[in-house]
Amino acid sequence: MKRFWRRDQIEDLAFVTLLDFRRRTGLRLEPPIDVDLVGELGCGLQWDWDVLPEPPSTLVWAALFPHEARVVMNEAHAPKFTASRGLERFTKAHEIGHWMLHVDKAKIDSASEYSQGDMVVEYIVRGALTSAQARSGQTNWLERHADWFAAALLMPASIFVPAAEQLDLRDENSLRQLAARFDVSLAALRARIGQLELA
Amino acid sequence: MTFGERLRQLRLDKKVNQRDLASRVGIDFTYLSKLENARMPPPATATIARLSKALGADSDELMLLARKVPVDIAPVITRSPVVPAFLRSIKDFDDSEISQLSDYAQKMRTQRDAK
Repeated sequence: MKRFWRRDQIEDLAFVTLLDFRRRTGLRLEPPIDVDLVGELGCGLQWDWDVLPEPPSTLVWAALFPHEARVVMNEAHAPKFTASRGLERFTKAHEIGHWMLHVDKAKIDSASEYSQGDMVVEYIVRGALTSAQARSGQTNWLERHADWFAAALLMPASIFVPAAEQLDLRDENSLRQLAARFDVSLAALRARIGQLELA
Repeated sequence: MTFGERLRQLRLDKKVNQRDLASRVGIDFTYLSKLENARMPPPATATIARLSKALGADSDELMLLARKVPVDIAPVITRSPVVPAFLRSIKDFDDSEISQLSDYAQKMRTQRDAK
């Protein structure tokens, strides 16, 4: 299983994931990307909601159970997800990223690496670093990979760049309009604009 | 196949996500996920009927998977003591025997309608 990914490789994998989803479903690739169906029909994942335990001073948005190809969204935060669809969509795209980038599907079957009940717990790092992580300046590359993947999945460059280029990205209303079109948070939108050097 | 598995299959056949279906049917999306993952027992018959309608599915199939009596069948069963007694008398019949009975009932219906 590949452990180190370059940004451009992640970008390509996210787009191939979308193309594969289009091929399987016949659905058009247009914003907002239906991240739920990409996970289910494109990647074979199941979405579930349940209350997840949270270690002290840690926020857990979701957990990926590789053995069951299942993502559990933390029901304790369902009101936050409902209030911020961008947060929910990015969290789901992030989990799909882990599934595509970091889970060796062959090893799931043999159960040599992922035993029953084993799970990869996600601590979403965008703006929600634990104080200990923030103090130590810890950089979690797996999390960063999944975030890159999520941004590329929800805002694929081939669709996002032409849409962004039609707008004045210094204008707050234009940014809000673009965020609404792709159904992402303003924070995720600004990060993507920065990644793609559009402003 | 369980009720939840079939529900998920029907939803994905229609390419509808959990939130959208839950919203159409008037249930919570977290509840729908629990139904699909068999972490909650199947819902009330009225909810199954709404789910079936939203998915363009055969409600009898989902009702049977949920071990529920379809809404339009309940009055038939309770209208006379003869009906439950009849159903008990055929409770160990296999599919072939049920099919023969069904054919016979169909013949009776045809004769009845012809009068």
